[in-house]
Amino acid sequence: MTEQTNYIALLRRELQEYRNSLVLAPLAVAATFILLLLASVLLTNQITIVGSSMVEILENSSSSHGVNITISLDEDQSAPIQIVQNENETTDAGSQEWNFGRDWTFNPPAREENPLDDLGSSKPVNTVLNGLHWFFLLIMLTTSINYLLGTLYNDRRDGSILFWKSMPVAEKQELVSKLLTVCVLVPAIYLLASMATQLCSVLLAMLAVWRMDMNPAELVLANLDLPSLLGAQLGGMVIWILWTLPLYTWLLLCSAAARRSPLLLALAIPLALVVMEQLFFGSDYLSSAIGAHIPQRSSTGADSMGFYFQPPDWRTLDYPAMLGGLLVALGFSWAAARLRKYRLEI
Amino acid sequence: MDTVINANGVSKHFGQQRALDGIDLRVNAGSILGLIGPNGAGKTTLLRSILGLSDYEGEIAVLGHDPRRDRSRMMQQVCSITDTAVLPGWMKVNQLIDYVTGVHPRFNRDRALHFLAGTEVGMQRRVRQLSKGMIVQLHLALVMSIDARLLILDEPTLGLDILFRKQFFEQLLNDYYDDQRTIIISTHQVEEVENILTDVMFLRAGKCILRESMETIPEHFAELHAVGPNAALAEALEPVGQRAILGGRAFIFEDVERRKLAQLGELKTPTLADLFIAKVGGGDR
Repeated sequence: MTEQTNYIALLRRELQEYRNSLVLAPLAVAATFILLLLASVLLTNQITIVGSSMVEILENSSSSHGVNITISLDEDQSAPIQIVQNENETTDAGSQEWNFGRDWTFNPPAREENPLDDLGSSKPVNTVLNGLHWFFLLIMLTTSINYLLGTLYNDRRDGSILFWKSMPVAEKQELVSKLLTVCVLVPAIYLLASMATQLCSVLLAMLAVWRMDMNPAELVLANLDLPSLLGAQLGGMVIWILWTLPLYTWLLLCSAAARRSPLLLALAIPLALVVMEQLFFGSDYLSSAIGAHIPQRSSTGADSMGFYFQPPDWRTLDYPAMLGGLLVALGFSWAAARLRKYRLEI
Repeated sequence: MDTVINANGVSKHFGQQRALDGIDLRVNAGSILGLIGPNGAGKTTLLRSILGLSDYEGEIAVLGHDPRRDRSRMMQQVCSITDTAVLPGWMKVNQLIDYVTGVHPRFNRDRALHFLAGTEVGMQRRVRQLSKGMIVQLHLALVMSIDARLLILDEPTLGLDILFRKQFFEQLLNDYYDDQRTIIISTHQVEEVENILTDVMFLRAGKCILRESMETIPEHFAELHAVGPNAALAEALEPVGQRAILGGRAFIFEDVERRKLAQLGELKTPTLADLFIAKVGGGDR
């Protein structure tokens, strides 16, 4: 029997135990989305929600608009306040501030940038599909956290750990199988479910557009940049895994260590350390480091590379921070394996 | 004869409490060792140390493996059933068999299915839907289908009714045991295992107070039933334990000449349960 056979059995076990959250949840979400879209396309004879939304997005996909205000204090001018619509806004941080010169000017950003607006493509269909994908990522994060907090705790609570340990499986293999589950299998399942939903959405959107006597190829396909979409979502998933590994392994460690609540342990220790750092050193390095590795909604560029809302730009990635996180993850994994060796009860 | 377990000076502390105190143990292939002791004597701690589930001081070698460093390879030849090791309730029986097939190189799936065919354990049922007796049957079927050299049973029949307990040990002897396999049984139900043991070890407060082959027990121990004035004479010979019997007293002696004892009453070999009570508690003296 090879080690590979061993891992297949271990991974299959993980998926069987957490079948609802890791396998059925993404499929259920995908099925719900597709059914809703299908119903809206098929059952509505007039302009469907999908169709109207799609058309609206496609039609409003031109550049964003902003307003520049200029207040002139020159008493000779008859119109002291000028409001000029900026047709081709390019946001410049410096120009957003008040200029207290003779002419007071204020150039605000055109509007609050929606992170979903800038998902690696100017194609509006990509924006919609990335939004759909974001929903899957959110569920994936929730189910992954639930899995990690329970996976080394529940079997200690019900006593089945002694059965698992009666099998010739090393702690290292066990830990690796759990990390493979959450870092490879789960993202793959959610990615497939997300992509299947996106594919169906595109097809249904084309159907809706066609029912409105418009050209689906022109209105939908021409507004879809498939390579960019796939690059953003696949690359984003890789970055997601690399950046969240410290968080994931921390949760695994808490699951192996907790005697009562793994969640409480996972929150209390970092919180206590952050407070102590601020109290004794007045710094916030730890909270920054933790914050950088927690998936979050972000609208800025390179500094939010970990999390999905920008397509990966490998050139601007913060490699030292990522490497540091991976080393921390290695330490957490080692500690979890050590605890797993002899901590059999809660 | 092959040595399966060789342990020297095994000790274990839980804070100030000494759970194991310098245990030496040598178990040969083909033996069935009964590990007997009161609650808290250290039986489970010793078995967990042998299985690599607990850290300890001293040295243990199981089939040449160090349980602390080489547990996963050692477990290819070692099986265990413990009362506290419940099978995962969420798993279906067929999933459990698939899992063991996947991770254990010495597991014979067909053999397991053959054992289960004679029970009411359904393949599609989840473990949590089975009765305690059926779970033990399932666990035993899995374990007996592994071609292991050492089987460790820690209170395996606790909570089972007498029919299941009898069936468990019968099946173990008939379908599993041979002279190349070694079994260690820790149990409170001494009477039920007495007839199948080849060796016995009594533990009290983490110390070994008796380690004997079942064959040599009659050579070293004798039970005397004395009545009247002979009871007082017998007590003067310093028995290891005594208890009241109908019309007199029963005394258990260790390494006292049988000829001398025979003059005072009826002699017989003590049962393991009586010997255990005498050695551990000293009887009701």
